[in-house]
Amino acid sequence: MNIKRRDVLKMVGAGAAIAGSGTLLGGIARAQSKDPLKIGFISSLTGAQAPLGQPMLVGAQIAVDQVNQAGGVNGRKIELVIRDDKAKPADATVAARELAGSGVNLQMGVVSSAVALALTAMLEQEKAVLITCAAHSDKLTKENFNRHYFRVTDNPYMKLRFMARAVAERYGAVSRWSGLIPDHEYGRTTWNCFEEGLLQYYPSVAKKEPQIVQALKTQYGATDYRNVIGSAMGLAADGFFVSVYGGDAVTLFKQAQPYGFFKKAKVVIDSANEFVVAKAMKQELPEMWVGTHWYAGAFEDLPLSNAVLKEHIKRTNDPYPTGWVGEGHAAVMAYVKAVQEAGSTETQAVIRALESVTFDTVCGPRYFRKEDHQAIKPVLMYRLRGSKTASAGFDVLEYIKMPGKDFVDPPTPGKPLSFRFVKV
Amino acid sequence: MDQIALTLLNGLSWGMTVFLTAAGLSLVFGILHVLNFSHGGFLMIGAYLSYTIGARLQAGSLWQFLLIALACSVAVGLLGALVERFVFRRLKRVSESYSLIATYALLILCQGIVKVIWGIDFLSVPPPSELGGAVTMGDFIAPSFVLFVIACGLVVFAIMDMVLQRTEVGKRVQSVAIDPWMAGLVGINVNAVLSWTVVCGFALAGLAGALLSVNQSLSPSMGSALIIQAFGALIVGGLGNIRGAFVASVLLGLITSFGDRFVPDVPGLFFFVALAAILLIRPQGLMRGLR
Repeated sequence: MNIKRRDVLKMVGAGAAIAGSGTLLGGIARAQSKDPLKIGFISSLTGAQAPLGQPMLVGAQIAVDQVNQAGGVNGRKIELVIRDDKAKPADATVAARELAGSGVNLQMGVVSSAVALALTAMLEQEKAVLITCAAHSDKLTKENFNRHYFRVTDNPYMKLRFMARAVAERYGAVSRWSGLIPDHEYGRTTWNCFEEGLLQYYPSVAKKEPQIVQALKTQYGATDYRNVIGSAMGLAADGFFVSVYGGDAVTLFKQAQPYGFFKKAKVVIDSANEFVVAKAMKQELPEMWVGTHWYAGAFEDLPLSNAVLKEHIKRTNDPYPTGWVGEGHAAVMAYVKAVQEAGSTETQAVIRALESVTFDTVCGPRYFRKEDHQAIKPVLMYRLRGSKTASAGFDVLEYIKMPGKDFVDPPTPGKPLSFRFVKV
Repeated sequence: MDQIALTLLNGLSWGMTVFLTAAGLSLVFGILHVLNFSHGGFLMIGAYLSYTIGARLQAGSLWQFLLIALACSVAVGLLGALVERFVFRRLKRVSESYSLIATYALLILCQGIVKVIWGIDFLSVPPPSELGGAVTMGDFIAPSFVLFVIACGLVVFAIMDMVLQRTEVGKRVQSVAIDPWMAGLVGINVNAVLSWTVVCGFALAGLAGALLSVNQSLSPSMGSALIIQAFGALIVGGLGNIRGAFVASVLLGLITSFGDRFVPDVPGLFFFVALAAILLIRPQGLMRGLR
């Protein structure tokens, strides 16, 4: 074996680094301070959840370019290091470890809650920070909470209670409610949160007691929903909550049309499909209220929102970005502000800064609650309807926006989400 | 009563949807003994082609829809000819595990092609005006598409059964399936029979994709969802047996439908319960061999 002098030097350097020599690491950090600041982007870029992960990436890239054009962070440019988790926890943990191991301790992205739960479990050990832009399981800020984790987007409890409140205000006469939910944890959580809102706000806002008919479960990834639709047609309900998502929602809505489901349902609330279903169904889309994380039309007074919309159109030729674009953008903006504030990318310093800073986003100023790292941001939904004349194939008829702080759960890290009205 | 009739109708339409998917799969397995994992991928390409052609021509009537479905069938059949020439022909002299790997690779290729051409966003094919509504009798609602898909399943089964059972071509195909060496000896062009079988199997995938495209969302993963049920029907029916696949599709459809309706807390479970139960009672499948 022919060992050269340079190899020996490398080994000595590596050994010193492993031993954790503060001065040497400090020296390296100073030497690299003009290197780009790397943010690890881990999300679902292929597979069934790619329609959420890809817009997230577009939003993050827009933010990176905007920040770099404005001079970067503390004189350093920022750079995304992109990894595809394929919505698989195992792939995500490999990516996160690899990134953390190569010094990329600030990480963001993530669509799936299962992925987020797997990553949060290892953040402390890897000395990394994670900001998720989706991953709505309440466990992340409740019983599985960990200081290294932050959620930059709204959670189902705040969003769905807001939607129930808006419905109670707008459609007080429609007080018999049921739902069509996917048969897994997300489906049950969304229904519980929406029901909690109905039970709270119908009496207080609509001055009426709501009648709740237990939601019907649907199979994830099914090709035929006609039996559940047949059952829904027989229910004594005239308002329907739907948290079936993506392609399943398209299939469900298409198959429900001929039964007259959208005539029976006076109001349909779609929890979180943003423009995804509308873009697929176009003129076939029945009228419904749809939850979103960001709608540029609701923030026309914000230059940042307008700028991101303009850039999105330039890059994708699509004038209807989904809210995940906004959340991908927001996560980068959070890191930028925190690193500026901390004056360093060191994990603990960034965590402390994230707990205290308010950062600019497409939905206005936003901050993380110190106790459980849940972001406080506006919650909103829009009313969509398919249209033969609209160039996109659908119209945004109106939107409702309210402050998220009015609907968010009290911070109780370490304890499970509790309901006041719903018996779980 | 209406509820039972509705569940029955849904079960039949579910069964016919599965049979349309399984028909080509069963044909290719029955004759070539290749379990074609890529069948769902080519079905998906049929659906996407129907989306593109329909959108380009702004087709709205039933006749246009049927013509587009036939065109998609021919197009996917031609792709089948290419697959036969460059993939299946090479699999004849190697063990079966190679055919699993090769056809699985083809499925991944199909998904990649769809992503490159059509993107990852969900798409939807609007139904022709004749199939968008429903036939109502009092409180009983039968969506036109449900009746249409049942009719399509019956027609495809009747044609396949007639050709395989009652024509000379069918007899030749059967003889190749049973003993290709002997069939060659008596003057049947075995290679031609095998090639045409693959083309027909793929054409059936294209036809099913186009016909079913209005029933559900289109996405690069749509092939996988349908194909699991089709494999179920194939296994229960007796591998490679068209009549078996038909009977199994209807049976699984009815059991799944009634199960989902009356035990709604476990949606989708009854398909697997039925699959396991039938195999416990008849491990060899409902029917055997190519009939």
